[in-house]
Amino acid sequence: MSSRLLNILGGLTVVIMVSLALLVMIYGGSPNPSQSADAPRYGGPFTMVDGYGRTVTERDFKDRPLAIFFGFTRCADVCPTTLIEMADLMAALGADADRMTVLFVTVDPERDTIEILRDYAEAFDKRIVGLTGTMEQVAAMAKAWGVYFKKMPTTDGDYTMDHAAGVFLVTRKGNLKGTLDLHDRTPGVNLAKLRALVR
Amino acid sequence: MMEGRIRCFRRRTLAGAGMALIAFSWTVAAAQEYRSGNIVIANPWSRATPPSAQVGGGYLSIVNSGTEGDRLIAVRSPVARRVEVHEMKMDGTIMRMRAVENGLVIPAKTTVNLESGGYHLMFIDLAAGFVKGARIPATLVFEKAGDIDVVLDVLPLGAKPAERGR
Repeated sequence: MSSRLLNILGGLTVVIMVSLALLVMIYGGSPNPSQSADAPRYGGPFTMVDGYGRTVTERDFKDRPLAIFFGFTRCADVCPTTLIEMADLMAALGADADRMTVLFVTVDPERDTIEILRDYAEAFDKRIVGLTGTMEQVAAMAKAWGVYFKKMPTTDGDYTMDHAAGVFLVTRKGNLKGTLDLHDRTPGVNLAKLRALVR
Repeated sequence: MMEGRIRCFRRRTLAGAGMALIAFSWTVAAAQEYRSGNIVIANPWSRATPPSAQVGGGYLSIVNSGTEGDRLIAVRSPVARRVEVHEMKMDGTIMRMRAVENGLVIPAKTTVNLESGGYHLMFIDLAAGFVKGARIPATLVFEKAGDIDVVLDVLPLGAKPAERGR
């Protein structure tokens, strides 16, 4: 009797662990996608400037699913490859990509002027919206998303930016649904997450 | 069309290591090689830069067939104010980009790949953006093998590592 109970308990444990693993696979790792009332809230209001010099806030993207990621243009490898992946995903989504907004937020507003950021983002896909602002505005938005960034001096007075990678997926209601890991080359995983977001 | 590409990618992935190996050999064979002493530079490429970009990346393989290690100590190019060898490292979710200090070590009998997500060349302050189809001259300076002049083929803006040599 007790061994049967143990078997059932063991089976249940396996089922729960597999379900948890699946959830993690589907929704990505940190931050926790299940934004319950007592969980830290990601995102929230922001005021930034788009590639056409317009002041934009979260209200301008109301009722639209969002994919938000942070980066900078003076970056030779990871930022272009991230944008290439994003643009490929948007192309694969087809018309569904028009129902969402992709925000590329600079962590280097000193060098990423409005025009530079617009030309850069739109070169990958015209629909990618580059956001910049004052250092305070950028810092506030990064903080709201729990995104670390830091200026690191290099040579000749130059500098590079350390920053948190990863793409936040936000529902129409403004809740965090999960993240994309663009280094995940498993075919279809990121596309499935975006499809689920715009559905 | 995109669907086709995705399916194609999946098929390729499933085809396994054998196919990858064949594809790799083909890529290396088809690409330009540059040699000095025991060092061979294979398949140097870059990708077109967005209109306002001030920097560009560069990728290649360095093959050391000798019994002694060597070091890539400098890179020069007339198209950029400065060229650095960079290494990208993920520290948890934080991405850190650093110039390699004291040269990039190429151990004996070893190939070091400069490819996306690891080491790469960073062309800083471009005289002009990289345009698809252009050929970018650069000189790699090795401690023992000396200078090796190479030319990087500029692939389209959306080119991915798997497409190099195409």
